Amino acid sequence: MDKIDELLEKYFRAESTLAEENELKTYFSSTQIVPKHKVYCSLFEVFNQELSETTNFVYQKIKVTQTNSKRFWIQIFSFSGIAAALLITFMVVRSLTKTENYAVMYGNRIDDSEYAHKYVHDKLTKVNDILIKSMKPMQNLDKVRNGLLKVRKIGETKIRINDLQK
Amino acid sequence: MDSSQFNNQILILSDKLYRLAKSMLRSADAAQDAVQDLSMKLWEKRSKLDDVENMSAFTMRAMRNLCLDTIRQTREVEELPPEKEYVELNPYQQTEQKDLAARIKNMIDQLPELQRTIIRMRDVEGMELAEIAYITDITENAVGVNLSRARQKIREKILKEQKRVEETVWIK
Repeated sequence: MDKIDELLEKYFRAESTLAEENELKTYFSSTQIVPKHKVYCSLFEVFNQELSETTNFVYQKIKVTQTNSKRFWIQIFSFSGIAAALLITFMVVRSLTKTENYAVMYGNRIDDSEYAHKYVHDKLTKVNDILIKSMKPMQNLDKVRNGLLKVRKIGETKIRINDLQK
Repeated sequence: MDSSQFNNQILILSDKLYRLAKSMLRSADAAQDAVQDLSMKLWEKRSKLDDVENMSAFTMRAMRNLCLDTIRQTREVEELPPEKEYVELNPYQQTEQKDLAARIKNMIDQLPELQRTIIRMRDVEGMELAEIAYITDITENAVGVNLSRARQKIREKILKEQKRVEETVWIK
């Protein structure tokens, strides 16, 4: 019983370990308590009684429920997501099926190849006419060169005459 | 933290939380309300609970803070004195509280809030001093001092009560 006395002293000085306190609890819940310790029986009885106290509040298992506003926003985001996905799919499909043969004229896209060919042909014809017209003055250059050759021959002849005179 | 984790980690502590709240608020109904209130608050902040290492100590600390707030608000409204002093029971009360266990319970309830919280955490819940220190936000040494004072006070009162009972028997 000296051990119990020692444990009790340690207990009241708050120097006992949990294991030692459990030893005391076991002792005081037994039927072999010596008379001098019986005064502390009720103390340990109180602790046991309090441990058996439980809340009578009946918990309902927490369910994941959303408020109306939360549900509203979830629906908005869901529908927006679906709409965005459909739009992206449409654009991708459209871009895959579309032909790459087109011409751009003055910033306008022309997908009709026949029209584009005709348009280019007309434009090239016009450019050709302009070139022919602008090249006409160039034909007179030969005449000028022939004229200059004659003038040069006159000069040469004059030099030869002078030499003969000398 | 999802609903099943919440049920398994927090709602399982409800009895422990209830006993702490009852000890602090000294009312079963107020303790029930506090447990319900805390559960709702923790559920709302469940996304932040994943980082908590010791869920039991964290929840007990949250409950203690909630109870302290409740006590503060009650005092502001009712202007109650901070703590009731222990008074000797008159003969009428003594006959009503014949049971020594009930009287000891009353003695514990008359202790200052910190001491009664600590003595119950240690002696009822069997918590380590370090855990109690975290919950009550004081040092481990201070927990030991308060626990020692609380136990000594209860011991003195029990011995005084015992002596009085023996004297009464002797007079008879």
